[in-house]
Amino acid sequence: MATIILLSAFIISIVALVFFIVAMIRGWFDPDSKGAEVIFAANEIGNPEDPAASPEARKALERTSPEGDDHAPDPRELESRAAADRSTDTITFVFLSCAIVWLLAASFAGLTASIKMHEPDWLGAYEWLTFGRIRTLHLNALAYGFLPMAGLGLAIWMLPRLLKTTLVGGQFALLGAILWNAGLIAGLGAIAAGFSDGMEWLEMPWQVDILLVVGGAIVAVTLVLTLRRRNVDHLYVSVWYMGAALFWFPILFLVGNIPGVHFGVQQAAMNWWYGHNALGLFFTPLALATIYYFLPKVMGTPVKSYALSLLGFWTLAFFYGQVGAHHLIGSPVPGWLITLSIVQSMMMVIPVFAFSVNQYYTMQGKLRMLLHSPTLRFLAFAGLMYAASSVQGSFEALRAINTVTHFTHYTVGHAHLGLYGFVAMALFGGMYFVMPRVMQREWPYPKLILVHFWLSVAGIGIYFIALTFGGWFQGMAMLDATRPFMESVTLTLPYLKGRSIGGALMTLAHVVFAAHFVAMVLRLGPARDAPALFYVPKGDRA
Amino acid sequence: MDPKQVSAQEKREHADPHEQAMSIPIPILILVALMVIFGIFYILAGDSSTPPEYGDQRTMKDLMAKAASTSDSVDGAAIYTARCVACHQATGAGLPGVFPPLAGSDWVAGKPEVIAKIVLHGVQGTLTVNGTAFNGAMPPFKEQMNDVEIAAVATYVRKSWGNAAPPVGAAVVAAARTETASRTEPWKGDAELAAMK
Repeated sequence: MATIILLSAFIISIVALVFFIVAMIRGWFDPDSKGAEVIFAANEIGNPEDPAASPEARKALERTSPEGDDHAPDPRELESRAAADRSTDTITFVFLSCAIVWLLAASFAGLTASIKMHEPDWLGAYEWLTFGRIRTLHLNALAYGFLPMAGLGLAIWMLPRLLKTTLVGGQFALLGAILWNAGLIAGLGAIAAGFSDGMEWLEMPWQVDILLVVGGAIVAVTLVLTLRRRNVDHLYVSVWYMGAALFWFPILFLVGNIPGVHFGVQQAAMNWWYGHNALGLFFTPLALATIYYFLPKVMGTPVKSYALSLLGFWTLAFFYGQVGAHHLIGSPVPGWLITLSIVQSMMMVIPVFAFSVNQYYTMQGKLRMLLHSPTLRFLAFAGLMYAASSVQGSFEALRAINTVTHFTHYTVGHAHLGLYGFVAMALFGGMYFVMPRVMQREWPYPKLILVHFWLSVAGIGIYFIALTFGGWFQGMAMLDATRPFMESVTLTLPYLKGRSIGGALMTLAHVVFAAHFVAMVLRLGPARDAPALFYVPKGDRA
Repeated sequence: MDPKQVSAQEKREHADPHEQAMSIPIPILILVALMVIFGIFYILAGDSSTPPEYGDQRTMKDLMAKAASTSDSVDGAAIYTARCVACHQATGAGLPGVFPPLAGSDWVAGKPEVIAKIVLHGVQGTLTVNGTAFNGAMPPFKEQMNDVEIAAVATYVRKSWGNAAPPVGAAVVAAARTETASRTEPWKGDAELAAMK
């Protein structure tokens, strides 16, 4: 009986979703169906360019593109762009600076926790540095510090540009950021002192969570006010993702943290409903919005398919909310809940392919641009890792694979591929584009960007490969009843050391990034007038 | 700064990106169709009506990753590792003064129904093994294991570490289970078990 109810609910909802997406694509709901069409200023399509290219450097880039026309932007567009940027630069600067601080804190906490996995006695004399607390500090400083600060900072910067207006109610965003950071400092202090709600992703005490809920809601006020003053008819795909993320997150966070509502098995179900939705309905949309804006922007190519954007957005919105229970496979929760979560986890390959194919068409024939642009390289890497980690996650939800990987380091490797390889790298890329506009100054040391990129890529690569293999072997050992449990623990040691090496490289990358950021903000180093490019062909050097 | 002034960085960019109207590629539509078919199949194949307390239907046998459909294929050694080794040790020697040995134990090598009854109900109180008195507690396993599994682990114990007693059949365990069905507490050490020896 339960199967029939579940199956009919699944089919009916899929049919409704298909109908809805077709209606959106065809513009059935639009009073003016031209909303689906492209709005382009003349002379602005098809000019390949690093976002930051000087005339000399641009020549090199134009040769990489089949259609290299002269670049003559509309002066009115430039004016509205400048007005948008002036309205956001202080606020974006505050958000991104906070992001840098939390990035460093989270990196060192994570590295400490990682080293403790194979050197358990190291720093054991300090209570707040014990594994249970420092690992939790790492997660919270990243999940509520770096990622939202960078993601919201970029969102606030992109929004007025995409809506062709200026930021309205910027003081609300500033107040929200202050409350949010105050809450986060209190929350991390509470965790370090040993107060925890005991649920992963929801460790901060609920009294502290109030500050984050209010802070987040106040930031969203800015979004709503700015949306209401928009000067465009058509909302670009990045706006959907940003708007949705800012709408979803306060709801998720509030429900997850209300004390005294959920108990026992239900609490576990709620915990993973929250945990996975924080990833899928907050961090993922913010990172996707970043890629959808900056990748075509840098390339000078429009996003090819509005229909694919729609398909990707609405299937993500529909499927993601139901996948969390795959963390509970093998637990005493109703079978239909698990089955549904596995099915919807697999359905997530649809938005992933829709996004990837759309980006592929955008980049088609222009891949050589990856050689030159810092922003682009981070974003393209992030896009690839989005596809990789999402497909991996879908298959990880299947019972046959979950039997091996559940409760092993494999899951940890997967989580970092998604949150670091995809989300953090996308945000880095966005920050490299935005900061020269916020500061009206070029990055002083382009080589450091290159160092940051390769340290990050090497770090996450070593980290992911070590934990994927180590975790798989650990899972196989745990399933083998003839081997003692301790064997499944000791065999992971070399892989855990590999993880620490990867973590150290990523931490180093972030130190480089932070130093570069500080140098730029304090206006240290050479005042360069050319954009930060990785590589300029010889004949084109000025 | 004059809000109308355009900085160098802003001047040299492209227009903000837009979307073109390419329709959804056919392979993506095929992928969507295949995924929906998979979803229907998976929902039908998964048994959603099983009571949740079974924990997603997986049993000890699934987790041991061995097809154990017949009594012959139940692995006594695996059960020993999972349930007995913590006290009686991998060598069967127990821990001197704390947990009694199984290797060379007169209780193990004795009548098959005695070892079956001990595994079924456990022991509480003083028990003399090979002349040494142990004062410990062994938990009952009547709820955790069926007759076939108890027979398999008893057989394993009776032929390991130098023991050479004949195997225990599942029928012996079943008979012992029926005979002691009303029992709710462990055997009181020598006081009750010595008589059965």
